[in-house]
Parts: sequence; structure tokens; C-alpha cells
Amino acid sequence: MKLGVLFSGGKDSTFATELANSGQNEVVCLMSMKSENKDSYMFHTPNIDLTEIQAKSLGLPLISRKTEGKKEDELIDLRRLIQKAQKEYKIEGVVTGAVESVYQASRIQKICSDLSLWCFNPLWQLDQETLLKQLLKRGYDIIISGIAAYPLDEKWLGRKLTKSMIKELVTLKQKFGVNPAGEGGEFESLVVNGPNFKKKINIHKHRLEYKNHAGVFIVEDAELK
Amino acid sequence: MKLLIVNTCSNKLSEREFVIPFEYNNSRTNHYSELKDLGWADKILITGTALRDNEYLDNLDKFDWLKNVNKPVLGICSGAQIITSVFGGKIIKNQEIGMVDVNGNLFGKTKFQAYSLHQNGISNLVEFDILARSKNSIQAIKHKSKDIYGIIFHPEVRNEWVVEKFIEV
Repeated sequence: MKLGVLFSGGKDSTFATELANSGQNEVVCLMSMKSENKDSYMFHTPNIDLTEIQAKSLGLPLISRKTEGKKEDELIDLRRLIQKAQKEYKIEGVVTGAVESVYQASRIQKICSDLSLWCFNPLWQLDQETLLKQLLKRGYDIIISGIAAYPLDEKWLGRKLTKSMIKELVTLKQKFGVNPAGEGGEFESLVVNGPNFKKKINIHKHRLEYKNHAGVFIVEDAELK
Repeated sequence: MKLLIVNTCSNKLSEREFVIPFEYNNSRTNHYSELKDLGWADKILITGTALRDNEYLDNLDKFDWLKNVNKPVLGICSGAQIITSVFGGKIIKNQEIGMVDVNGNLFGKTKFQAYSLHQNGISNLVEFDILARSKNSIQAIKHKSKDIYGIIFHPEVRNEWVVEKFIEV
């Protein structure tokens, strides 16, 4: 089955891309929504422009669409993006990196149903600590690209996911209720290398924006190497 | 307690969503097309599958074993549709996606929210008692004389207690 992946460049959609591309299925394109609303309920926003070089490294075509990110209008934009993939790449199904968000998953399921497309969520209900450990085991290089919850602070921005960071996140879950994989929007991630990347993304220049436990690590210059 | 999970997915990628969440150290999973562990199991769970997956509807004869099974069975979504059909009920068009309010009495719980993801529902349930409903769908049934349950919603999302209770009962 030909599949298109809703791709943000974060850990979940990148992992979902790898899982989807096996057996009877073939990932034929990536689809990215570029939301102008950084508080979008639906879409990951930091460094979304980097999806272009990530797609290049993954050897997959990328189609993208801008959205103002207004709560229900962004779903109309998403539907149009998926329709474009259906037309241009003949996709028969959509893959998402949804783990726990019923809000995201049910909206995408409805769009897929309307467009007569299959919908796959290969990380659905996966325990968050297990998910992080699987990502490390498979060789993904992941950095924290956004934070939005106490007690996370600017020291977290740009940090690489490691075993000791997973331990820290599990402790933060116990003390503060932070979801270890950021499922509650506590943090966003950026994948710079992985088992299905042909080349690594080297970040040459970045800047931080941070205020009161909310911030982003913005990549200003990067290349594949 | 040995649990046999009967997989109804026709695409392997769906198994991560509808089958793997139920697996544990004392379960075995068989696809419905090649059942081999019916004798081994104490209880049986028939999984759901993707919204557009209708392959099980063309293979309902593969579930004839349900007529003679003497072990507790829990069918989820497509599993509930299969159980209904094997015992003379009807599978009807009835799409529901998202969280719904469920009322009735399922393993002692009378009111809860559940995640629905189905394009078919069930009706003509002569051999079953209806245990719970949402506004637009029958959500839970039990066979009148056997320990066979069907639930249309997906308990792997926010209602893990359903499978835990089924395993306990």
C-alpha cells in the first residue's frame, strides 16, 4: 500500500516513517503542515522548514502547506494537503506519529475516512518511556527544539536525547507530571540523524528564544553531511 | 491466566495500534486465518482493526469456532461485529469517530467516556443482552447464556480497565 506520512521532523513522525516503510507498505511521500500559530493544537511548529532537508536525507519527496493555524480552519488546510498527496503520489493511506492525543488522532481519522484513505498510527498508545528507549536503541539522534512546561528551562533547548535524559524525564514525570515523551506538549524534538537517514543534519548556527519556561531552539543554518 | 489474542488486522502496520497494546507476558497472538492456540488459552480476545479494514467481513466463516467455544471471549470493535454475526445478529453501517459518552452497566461501571472508531455497528441482537449504549450506537453486549462479550468502543484508549476486568472475571 502506498502511504504518505504526516511529517513534522520530530521524533514521533520520523519513527513512524521508518515503521511504516516495511512489508506490504511503501512510504511514497512526506506531508508537512507549516503552522503560523506556534500554539497549534494539531501541528508541531519549531524548525518546520527543516523538514525539507530531512526529507532529502530520507530520500522522500515532501509536500507542504501553510496554515494560519486557527483551530478548525487548520483541519481544512490539512485535508487539502492530504488530497494533494492523494492526487500527486496516489497514496492509499496516511501515517501519523500520534501516541496518545485523541484530539489529533480522531480528527485525522475523520479526514482519512472522508477521503477513503486508510489511517495508520504505529506509535499509538506506546508507553512514552519505552518509546524514548526504542528511539535511542534504533540509533536516532534527537535534540530538544522546544519547551513549554515547568520545570523545563533554557538549559534543555538543544540538548541531545540520551539515556540519562530519559532518566531525568522519568523523574520529572514523578515529581511534576511531565509526560516523558512530551505528549502533553511539554517539549518538541528535532531529529538530526536516524537509521533511515542517508546523511546527518549538521547544525552550523542556531538561536534561542526563551521566556518563563517556554522557548525554542531555532536552527538558522544547517546542511546534510 | 493465558490469553489468546485473535488478530483481525489485514495490514501488519495496524497491529501496532490494535493488537500490540493488549499483548502481555502470558498472551499469544494468532491471526484469525491461522488459529492454533485455542486449546492453550483460558480466555480469548478478538481485536479491532483499522477503520477501512473490512477483510474480516469476507471471512466470517473463519470464526465458526465461536459457536462451540466454552471459554470467555471478549470481542473489540470488529471482534464484536464478528461475534454478533456468528450468533445471528446483523452488522450495520454506523460510523462513529472520537470520544463518546457511554451509559449502561459494563463490569459494574455505569457511566464513562470511551473512544469510538468504527464504520459498522451491530443490531438484531436476539441472543444477546445489551449492556451499554452511546447516543448513536450499541456499545457493549453479552451473550445470554455464554461468557461472550462484545464491545464496539476501543478500550485500549483510556479504558484499559475493561480488559483488566475481563481477565479477572
